[in-house]
Amino acid sequence: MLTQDDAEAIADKLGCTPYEGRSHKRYELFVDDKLITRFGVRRASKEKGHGHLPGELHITQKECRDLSKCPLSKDEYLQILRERNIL
Amino acid sequence: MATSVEEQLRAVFGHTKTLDELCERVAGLESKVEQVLKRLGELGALRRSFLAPIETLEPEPYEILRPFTVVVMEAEGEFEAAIFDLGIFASGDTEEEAIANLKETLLDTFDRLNELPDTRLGKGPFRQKSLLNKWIRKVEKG
Repeated sequence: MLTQDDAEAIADKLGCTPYEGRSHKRYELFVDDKLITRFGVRRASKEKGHGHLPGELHITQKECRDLSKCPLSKDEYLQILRERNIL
Repeated sequence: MATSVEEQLRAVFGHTKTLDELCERVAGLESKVEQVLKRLGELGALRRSFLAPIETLEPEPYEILRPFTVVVMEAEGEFEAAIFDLGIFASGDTEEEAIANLKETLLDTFDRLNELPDTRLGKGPFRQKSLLNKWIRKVEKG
């Protein structure tokens, strides 16, 4: 299960900008000053599932894990987005 | 007493080479069907999903211009809600929480994308903004 820690690690790796939403914190990824994607972090005292991350980041759950836990770099992530015609 | 297909065929036709081959193929198919049913059961348990129509965004001051449906899926003990056409996703501990979070994400995305000029939007957000403005609109209270 993807967690808040994964979301924070991904935001950190991608160099995302925090944005305060209505009641959830969100991160925004800008590339060349253009917004590419946004994703939310569920605030909670306990670990909450973040199953929405793959959809918001346009990648699979496994790619999300790789992005969070290291094997996938920011450049590799951006390359995936290019291949999927998102970037 | 239940007997296998092979036993039933042998009872009628006896042993022949063709029948042996036929029984082998039937057994192979039975095994494959069993595997498929097992996998379907696993998938069903893993991701149960249903559709929920969204008819209002109240109490938020937004109006739905084009009714839409949310897909809610259960996965790994949590619920995920999605509007695939808009690329809007959210999670929750319950179906209700996932839908509530999705509505919040939807409005938050609508506000944020309309706040940014089109020149600062990548392909995905630009498309999202264009669709969102066709689906919902903010109602000015006054």
